[in-house]
Amino acid sequence: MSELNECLKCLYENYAVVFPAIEPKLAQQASVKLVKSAVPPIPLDYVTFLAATNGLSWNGISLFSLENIERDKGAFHHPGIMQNFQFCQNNALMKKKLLLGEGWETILVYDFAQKEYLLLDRYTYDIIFHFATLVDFLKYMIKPIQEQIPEGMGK
Amino acid sequence: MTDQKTTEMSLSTTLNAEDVFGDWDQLLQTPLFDEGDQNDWELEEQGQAYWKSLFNEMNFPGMDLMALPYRPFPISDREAHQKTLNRTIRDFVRFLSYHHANDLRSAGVTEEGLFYMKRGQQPENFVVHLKFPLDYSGSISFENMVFIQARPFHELIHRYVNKQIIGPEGRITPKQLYMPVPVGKVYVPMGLFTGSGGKNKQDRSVMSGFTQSALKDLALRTMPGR
Repeated sequence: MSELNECLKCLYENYAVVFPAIEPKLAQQASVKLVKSAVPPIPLDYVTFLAATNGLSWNGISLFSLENIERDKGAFHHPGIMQNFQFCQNNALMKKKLLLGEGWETILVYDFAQKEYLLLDRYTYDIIFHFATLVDFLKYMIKPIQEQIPEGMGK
Repeated sequence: MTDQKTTEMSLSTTLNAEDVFGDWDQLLQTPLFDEGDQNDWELEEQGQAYWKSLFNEMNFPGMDLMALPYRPFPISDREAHQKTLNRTIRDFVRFLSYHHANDLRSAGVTEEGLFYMKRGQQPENFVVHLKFPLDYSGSISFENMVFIQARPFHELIHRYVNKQIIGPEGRITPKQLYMPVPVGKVYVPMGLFTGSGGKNKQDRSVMSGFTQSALKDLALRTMPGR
């Protein structure tokens, strides 16, 4: 089992919300649209992630799907890359960056210039952590899972 | 304006979330920067009046607008800081699940969501938000935290704040940050409160044949974000 699948399995077992996978071709087509809009394309490992689950939501952290996904009979939606990329357009703080996820007071972006994922503070836009790959970020996400389970509550 | 509108709606017999809160989808789709942005930065100089008008325009039901002074939060070890923040948020979520269960239900958290919360996890579309940002008089404490729906409300707060901290040339550090601040530990976006009457007062617990709880239930079902 690949590292990506292992991380996703761990999150799924801890009640992460996952979505039906999409064809990688769709993500590639979307990348073309992004580049035409002067925004970096979707990184390859994120395309692999979308081919496993089209987005993910766990413990206040959302990894974007390709398009918005309607949830709870339209009450809200899981955010999509294609509905949020405008945030990176004409935004001096998001040059060569693509918004891929959000946490409680953080956002996850892919820095196309440095070829790495960055976890940014939502107020200061300071870099909190660098991640070489998406799997590294997922490992960071699952790190506190064991700490979160109190004694006597089972898994 | 928000309070007035919400109060008016609470007196109406039919509660429609769209009437109360406006068209959230349209609001969220408005771009961060548009052609009038240069004007926005000029208007920023006008200060409070402009941000108050924007606050009313964007409609934050049940939130107060506060001007927070810039006070940088000292962070020596970023990793340790993040760990402390994560742990406090986890404990806050657990605390709410045991002590504010009814408020959570009113905010739209399901029984399944409450189960996750007892494990310290935030259910889907809910996040813990810092009322005062750490660099603007905020602290890592339960008093500074509120449990809020990620979409539309948390998203909307950050959209409002972004207009102050992202400029055409890059990051801006305003000396004073205008911040919509939700009241309480659990944000329930309803301006709905009806007293049970009293001496020489009308009993408002029943409204045109609907009990208050029935009206609240109807409103919750059509509430945005749930």
